[in-house]
Amino acid sequence: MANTDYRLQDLSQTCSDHPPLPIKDRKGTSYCFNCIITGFQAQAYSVARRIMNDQHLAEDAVQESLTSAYRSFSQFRGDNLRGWLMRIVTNNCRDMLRASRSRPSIPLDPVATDPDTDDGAMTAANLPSDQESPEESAERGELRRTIEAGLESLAEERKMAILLVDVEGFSYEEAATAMNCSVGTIKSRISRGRRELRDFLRGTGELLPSGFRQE
Amino acid sequence: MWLFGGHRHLSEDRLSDYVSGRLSSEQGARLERAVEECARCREELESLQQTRALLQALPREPLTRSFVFAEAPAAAVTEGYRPVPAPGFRMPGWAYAGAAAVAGVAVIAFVLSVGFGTWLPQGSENEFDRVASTSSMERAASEPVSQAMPQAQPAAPAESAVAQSMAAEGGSPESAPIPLGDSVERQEAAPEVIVQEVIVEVEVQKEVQVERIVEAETAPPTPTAIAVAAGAPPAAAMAEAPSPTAAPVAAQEATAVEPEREGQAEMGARVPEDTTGYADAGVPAPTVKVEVDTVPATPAGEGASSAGEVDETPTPAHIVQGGDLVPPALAATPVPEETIATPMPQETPQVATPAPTTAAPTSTVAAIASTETVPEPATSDKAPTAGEDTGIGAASAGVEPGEPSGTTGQQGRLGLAGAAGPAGPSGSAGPLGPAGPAGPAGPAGPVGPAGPAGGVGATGPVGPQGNPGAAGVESARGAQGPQGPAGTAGRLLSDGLALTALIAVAAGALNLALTTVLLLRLRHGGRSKEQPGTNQEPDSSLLVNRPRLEN
Repeated sequence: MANTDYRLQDLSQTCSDHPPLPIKDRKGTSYCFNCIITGFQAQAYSVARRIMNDQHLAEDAVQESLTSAYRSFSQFRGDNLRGWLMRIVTNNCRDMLRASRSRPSIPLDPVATDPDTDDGAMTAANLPSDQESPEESAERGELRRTIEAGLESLAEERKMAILLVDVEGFSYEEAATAMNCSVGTIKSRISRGRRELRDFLRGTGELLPSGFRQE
Repeated sequence: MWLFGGHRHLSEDRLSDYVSGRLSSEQGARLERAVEECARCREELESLQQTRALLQALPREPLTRSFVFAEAPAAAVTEGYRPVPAPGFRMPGWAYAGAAAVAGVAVIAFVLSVGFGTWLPQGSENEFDRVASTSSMERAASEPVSQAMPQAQPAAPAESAVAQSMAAEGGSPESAPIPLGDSVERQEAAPEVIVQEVIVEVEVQKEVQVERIVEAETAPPTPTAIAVAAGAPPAAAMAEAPSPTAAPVAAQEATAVEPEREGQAEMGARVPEDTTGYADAGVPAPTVKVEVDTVPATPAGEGASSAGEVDETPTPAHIVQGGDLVPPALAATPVPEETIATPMPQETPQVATPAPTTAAPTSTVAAIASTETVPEPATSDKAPTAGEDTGIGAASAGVEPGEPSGTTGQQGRLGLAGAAGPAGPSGSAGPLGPAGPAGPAGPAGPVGPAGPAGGVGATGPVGPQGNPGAAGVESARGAQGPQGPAGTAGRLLSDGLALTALIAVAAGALNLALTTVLLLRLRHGGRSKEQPGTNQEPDSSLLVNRPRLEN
């Protein structure tokens, strides 16, 4: 997703599905911040969701991150917008995680759990496909939970690198920008994270189904 | 990949890069060939590819709501915010560090100054005293010496046994060891003042020559005799004779005649054995007849200058007993019996050492004074019995000027003795005098013989304590008080250090005050720059634009 996708050529231009929100970066280039949000929010929320392991916390983290990004957009230098935004999100997630760890809380109104789903939310990922049988759907769900458990077993930095590169498809450079480290560090974290995750999957006896293999 | 007959497997980093597609086509082809040759590497690569495929296959978490802003979010409420310091004064860390450093320097300077003797007890010996004494000895030695005869020499009040000065039994504790000088001009009560003035006056009054040795009663004073007489206790004569101007005549003679003796004299202050050596060697009696040339009859209380001379220019003590000049130290104790007409009370073994040096001046002056008034010769052996000897009587009279023991001139000198007030403490020891003789303890010996006399009292306090070595020094110092020549130099130096310490403390306090004021001003300035309300309250116009989330 190139930065040019969000640039405003004319302040009078109107976006189709959201009100325009012009904003300028450090170089004076104009953007529509809502366009940026539209193209970035799904990724941001997904990452935040996997980092926080809580829907509401992830929402709060993304909302806070986007607000912060808007306020500090004048500091953006115009390159690697996704990495810049993801750094804000990951930093917010870390801060909130540390805060939640130091002050654990119990929700007053726990969400009713659905035995068929992890968190009771009927999401697209949980919806059974028309093309797969219930057994396959169950197996797929079990595999997803195993992989997520494997991700949870990783160190925070490696988990984040794996999420950005392997799950969200970030390049090494973008991941390095998002995690505020060098590309070599990202390569190392990715390599070790994959090896550890592979060992975890082997240890759980979870065989990689042929259907999930990348042919 | 095959090295030394073994296969080197591909690293996981390289395999991971290959999986991520970060290898070039050439590198990728090479790796693929290597993987085909190695089953393990191939397995590793497949496992990594499967893992990555699983991760990529993970479904993205669906959005629960849209995060698009309906309106521009409000500006950060913290924009333009400057933290307001908490009530009360807060100093930054470096300010504390600076203040602590300054205070530390001030304290160190203060402690150093104290350590160098500013407030050391008088009895203790410090480096300044030693240095000063040494330098004074060197100056005295370098002083031109008139070999011929002890004439017209500024007979500065030599330092001799305090016992002699305190000989008078009536010496009250307050009475100071009588620093009798040739030129007794005034008598001051404050010893420090005297010491200060002495240095100046000694040089000014070089011309004031009070005494001149007319003749030696015994055989013409052979060099040896002179030497003995002058510096009989070489230590006493030379050890603390710092005044270069008014070098003791006898001391000079002794120095000139017997250089080796001079050397001993220099060491005498610390080597009491010298005196004993004289006694053992049977040195001819240093009895010399002294005749005072001019005796400025000054009222008591104007002996400061002379007292100063006593301190600064310790001449070899000549104790005149009945008109005979006898080295005080010898008279006191270690005098060889052959040299003295009447054998001295032989507590002599106790004598020796520095004690006589410090205590000498008074006895010497007393002896000189007695020389004028009582020309009839007196043997040195009588000296210890102060009450009997005229000179001693003068000394005692010095303590109490009102006594008729001396002539006008004597009274003047006695006045000087009064000026030596600081020695009073030793005088107080007088009552303990009996202990002095008992103090075979050692160096204090010279003082010891004077036991019955007040002078002995000076040594008394030390003697009984059984500290032979220090006894002499302690008692001598006590008798001499702060007027000791070495003590003068040391005190001057220590005073300088004390002044330095005070300056350092003042500078530290000033620095701290300035730092505090500066910080207060900075703090006040920082507050003044803030616009009221901007740091606490957000802009009302921005509140309207609070973001609204679109679901």
